[in-house]
Amino acid sequence: MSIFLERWDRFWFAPIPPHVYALLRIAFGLVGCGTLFGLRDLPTFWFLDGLVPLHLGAVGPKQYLITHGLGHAAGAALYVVTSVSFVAMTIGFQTRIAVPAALFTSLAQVAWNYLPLSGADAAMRVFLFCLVWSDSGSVWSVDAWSAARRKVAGPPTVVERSLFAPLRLIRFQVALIYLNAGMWKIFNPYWRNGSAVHYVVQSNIYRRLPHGMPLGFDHVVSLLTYGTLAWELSFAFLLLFARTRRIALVAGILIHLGMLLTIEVGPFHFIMLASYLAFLEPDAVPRLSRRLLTFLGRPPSVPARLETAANQ
Amino acid sequence: MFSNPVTADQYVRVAYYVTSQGAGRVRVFRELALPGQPEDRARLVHMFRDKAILNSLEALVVDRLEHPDAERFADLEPIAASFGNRFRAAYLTPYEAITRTEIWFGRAQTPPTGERLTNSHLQERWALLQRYRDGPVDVPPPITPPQLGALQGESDIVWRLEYAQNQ
Repeated sequence: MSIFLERWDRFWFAPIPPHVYALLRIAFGLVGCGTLFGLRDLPTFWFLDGLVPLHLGAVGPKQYLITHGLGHAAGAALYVVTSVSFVAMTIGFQTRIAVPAALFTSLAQVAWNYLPLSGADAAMRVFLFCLVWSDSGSVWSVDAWSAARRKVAGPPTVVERSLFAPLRLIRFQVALIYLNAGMWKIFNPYWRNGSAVHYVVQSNIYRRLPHGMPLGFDHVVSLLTYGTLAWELSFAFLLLFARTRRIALVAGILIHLGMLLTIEVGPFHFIMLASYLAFLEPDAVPRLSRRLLTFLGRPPSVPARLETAANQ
Repeated sequence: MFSNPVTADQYVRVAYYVTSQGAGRVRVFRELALPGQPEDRARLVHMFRDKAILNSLEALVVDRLEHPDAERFADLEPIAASFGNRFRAAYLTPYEAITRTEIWFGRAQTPPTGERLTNSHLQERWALLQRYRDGPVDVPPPITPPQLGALQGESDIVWRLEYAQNQ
């Protein structure tokens, strides 16, 4: 029993370097900023006479703002606050406030206007929820930079280790997204007869190029249909072993890049590719950054301080 | 994503019935709402407006399944309001008013695997849609306004009236 508890404890609560969380914060922040840039048309997406559901029978803050004639101001304010939260999160300014604020404003956006949002935004909210419980601002952030400046004369800054749990939750979430998608697909006849990808890449709403996929590629498209289905259904199980995990992730990167080239579905591929950073070995991230800094000819000052923390 | 792929090209067209103060004549204008970008060019950026329209249509389908006896659904009202406001601001004088707004959902079947639409077929459809894209098209008004569920054909697109609101 104690071995089980010890393993359970290690699985969820083992201390890891916070760099992987910083990397995820920056990646998710960039995707969030990109999405908000796409939604910058305030009259269309944020003002009440735009593409915004009113649900006048509803109660709550939105109803209060509508009845008091504050709809436009509230929409514009929500956009500004959401944008500030995501920018602050990306650069790591007041990170402990910025990440929960990004999550809260994302939830507020769903209540205000869910219409332009997609599965990518739902995934973003879940990832942000996980990130809230991590210390993602202690490195590679304005916070870390200003803390280092304040302590320039004192002892070296010690980088606190973070818990594994939020990272595990992000990994679980990625696996669940694919498993869920695969389970739904298996009930659809077009996925079972191998023509689903054909209809997606030919769709006038999604295809990148005017004519979609050329006729000669139909066999490839059929293989891609079954390949995608198999990969989504097996992704969660392939993650269980180190060797198959690499195969699953490399296949995922290739599939997302392939889809990125052939269809246009907004931020979905970017958020999923960003979430793959959660599968990096946490201890390898500071090592990789040190190598990168050495390669770029910059002194790796932060890793030296990290060693101090890691050896404690 | 794409658990239930759509087997047709999708379009949304908005029609406005406009009357002028003092004049009894009704004019009807149509414009294309979906897709927001021309189909004969590469699509490089995401259109959040398209996503909003598709989500509204999806909500309508779900509402109809959940409330089969309901006569009226509010899911397409944001589209009518948003496009109506833009049209009013851009094209109408203070003496003109929109008296009715209609939203038509169009579908053109995608050929199955092993088949493609011919280039001339596509060009014909795109030319038709380009007219709507160049600005609202003034079309002859119907004798009586169509009822919900009415069908119209244009090129290979079958339009179905999904929303109608008299103001």
